[in-house]
Amino acid sequence: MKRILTMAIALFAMATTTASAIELVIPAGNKGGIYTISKHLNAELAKIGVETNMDVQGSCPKGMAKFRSTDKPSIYIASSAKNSSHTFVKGCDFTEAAFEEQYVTPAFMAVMALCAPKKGVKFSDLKGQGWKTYTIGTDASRAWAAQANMEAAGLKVKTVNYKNSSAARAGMMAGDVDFFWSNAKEAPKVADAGGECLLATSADDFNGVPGMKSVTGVDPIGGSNIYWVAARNMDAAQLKSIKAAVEQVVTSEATQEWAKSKWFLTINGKSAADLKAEAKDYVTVFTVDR
Amino acid sequence: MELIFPTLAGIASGVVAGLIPGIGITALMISVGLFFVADSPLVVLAYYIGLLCASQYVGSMLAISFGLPGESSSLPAVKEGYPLFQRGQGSLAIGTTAISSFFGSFISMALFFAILPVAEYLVYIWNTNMLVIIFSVAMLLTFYISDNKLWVSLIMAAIGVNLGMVGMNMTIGTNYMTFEQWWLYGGLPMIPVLMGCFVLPELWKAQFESKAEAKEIKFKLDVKDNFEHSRASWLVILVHSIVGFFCGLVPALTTKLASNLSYFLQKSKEVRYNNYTGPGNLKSLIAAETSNNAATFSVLLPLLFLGIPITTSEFILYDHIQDTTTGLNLEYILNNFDILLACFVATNFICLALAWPMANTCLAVYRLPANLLKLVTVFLVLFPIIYTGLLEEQLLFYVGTFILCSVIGMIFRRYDTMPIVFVFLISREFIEGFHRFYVINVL
Repeated sequence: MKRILTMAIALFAMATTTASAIELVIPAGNKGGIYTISKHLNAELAKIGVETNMDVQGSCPKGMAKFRSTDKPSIYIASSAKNSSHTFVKGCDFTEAAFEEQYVTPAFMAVMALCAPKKGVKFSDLKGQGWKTYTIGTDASRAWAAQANMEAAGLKVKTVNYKNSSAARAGMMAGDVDFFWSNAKEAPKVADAGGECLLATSADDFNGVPGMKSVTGVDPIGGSNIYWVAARNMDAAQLKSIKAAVEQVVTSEATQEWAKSKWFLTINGKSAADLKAEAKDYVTVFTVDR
Repeated sequence: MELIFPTLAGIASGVVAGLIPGIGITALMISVGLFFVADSPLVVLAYYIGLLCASQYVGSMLAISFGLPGESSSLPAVKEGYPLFQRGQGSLAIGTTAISSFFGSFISMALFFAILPVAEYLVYIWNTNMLVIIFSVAMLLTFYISDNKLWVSLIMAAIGVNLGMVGMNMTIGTNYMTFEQWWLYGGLPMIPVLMGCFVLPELWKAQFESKAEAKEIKFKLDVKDNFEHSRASWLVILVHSIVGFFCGLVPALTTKLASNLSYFLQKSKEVRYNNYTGPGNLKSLIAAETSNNAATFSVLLPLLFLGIPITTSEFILYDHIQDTTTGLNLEYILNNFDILLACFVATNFICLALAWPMANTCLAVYRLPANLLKLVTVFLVLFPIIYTGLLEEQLLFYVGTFILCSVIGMIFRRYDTMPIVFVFLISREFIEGFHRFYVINVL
């Protein structure tokens, strides 16, 4: 089966490379999760003969405008989470019909983390000070998740928005806020700067950061996001091939290792249908007024 | 030894970035920088240091000779350096800025070692309260030192804020003047705004209102005279190296805040002591140029020691470094800090040579007959707009922004339009800082 799949991908690759490479529209700048994943897919797809042209658009609305207007076969990495992330930015949204038409496959997942500027802070000690309102620095797209999770865990919190995760981390270290809420991949950087992540919104411990339930006793609320692949201007056969190619890449051993080093969760062992349903809910049901 | 080639390549790239407005260091990091992504983070760091330093040194040369800012940090050099060039004092302007830039870099480095025992407190410059104070001082100084009447500067500031706030701002939740057009969501592009609102009126003044004759781009190397003028400004160099060092740590603004704030501070001093007789003030120019070069050292510190990139080009550098086996970690940086310092020192010596004794060679490409030079100037104004517009696949938007800003610039052509562009450049950070200040301290 794997051989047939590889042959099909190779045939698809030959057909597309002779015509033209697939446009990999990146709705972000040269930084962040979407860019990192796009770069990895670009390299790994090339190894199995699927050529993609990375087209860094710099921002989400611009990337989406390009993806919607191009007449070339294109793929696009979207990031969706409950009440946050890219698909809630104005101009980057998918309608239900567009989602159904363009959704190809899930690629990775990521979780968030709560970090403190110094080592040795215990979450249980924070809960003991019910009179205190804690300030949490976060990038705007994760503010809802930070507030919802910490309130569920029994803390009174106020979120402070920063331009991006780096700025929020800098703000925490400069004494602006008590904590910092971001993608869990920030944990090593926080540790390098003398801080520590107290919990991650994963079911279990994640790369050494304790899972939220084990620390707070409550399950995370919308604390993860799904990176998924959308495609346009492809016929059914092309769609099937690109889906197979991406699936082959994201489930490969090399990618498992890569994902661990970059703090992404892989989709191995998860039901593709469940992930699609989750992504669809994030895109079409859970919204916050921006 | 392995760092010689990437450093020289970085310097060569920096010269290109400095000589051709629009080809900024971010674009070069994305393109040429990719060739220096080796398994050792030092290689790409050496390239970046060369690129960053050379673009600052050479950008000043272009600003002084043509009245065109190669980088947004060169606005004061346009304001004070270009008039000096027109008065036939180009050699003095080029020489003293190169020398002061050189000393600014070294004083900044020395300052870092001097405050090393308390370096951990440097992070407090990122505190929102501190940033609000810095932005407010910069904003007030803009009005105070401007050649305009206060009400004119206030109108200009209002225009600057309105131009700067166009777009969607997720941090404060605003969607300002986008008219539901996606191409406006990201805000107005910087280059067309600078060219239209600032460069065009300055060139207009030089062309039609100045009595000075067009000067040939040829500089006389007068080591003794240049050193004497620099020595006479030793306090300016010292003070603005310190200002530049701290401004270099301010996220996103770094060198542009450094040069503009130092310029405003020095100019206000010159005005107070009645030493300011109009554009072409050498000490104000020296202050700005010293400061932005001092910032080129400190801007690297948050990335190297805390893993926090604070400019777009540093994000790209950071990404390249993270692709290496070693990645970016404190132990690695501490083990190799002497090598990086050596690289920084060598780069500054080479850049000093390029921007001073070899200034004629660097600018030889622009040594043309007066009429042709005018055409080149027009090209240098339009090229960055068209080039970046094409690069962003938004040519019409870029050209449209330039036309709109040119109209604004020409309406105010008899005034000093610096408040418009400075407020435009810092408005997002300024408003976001105030919003955070309000959320943290008031809400």
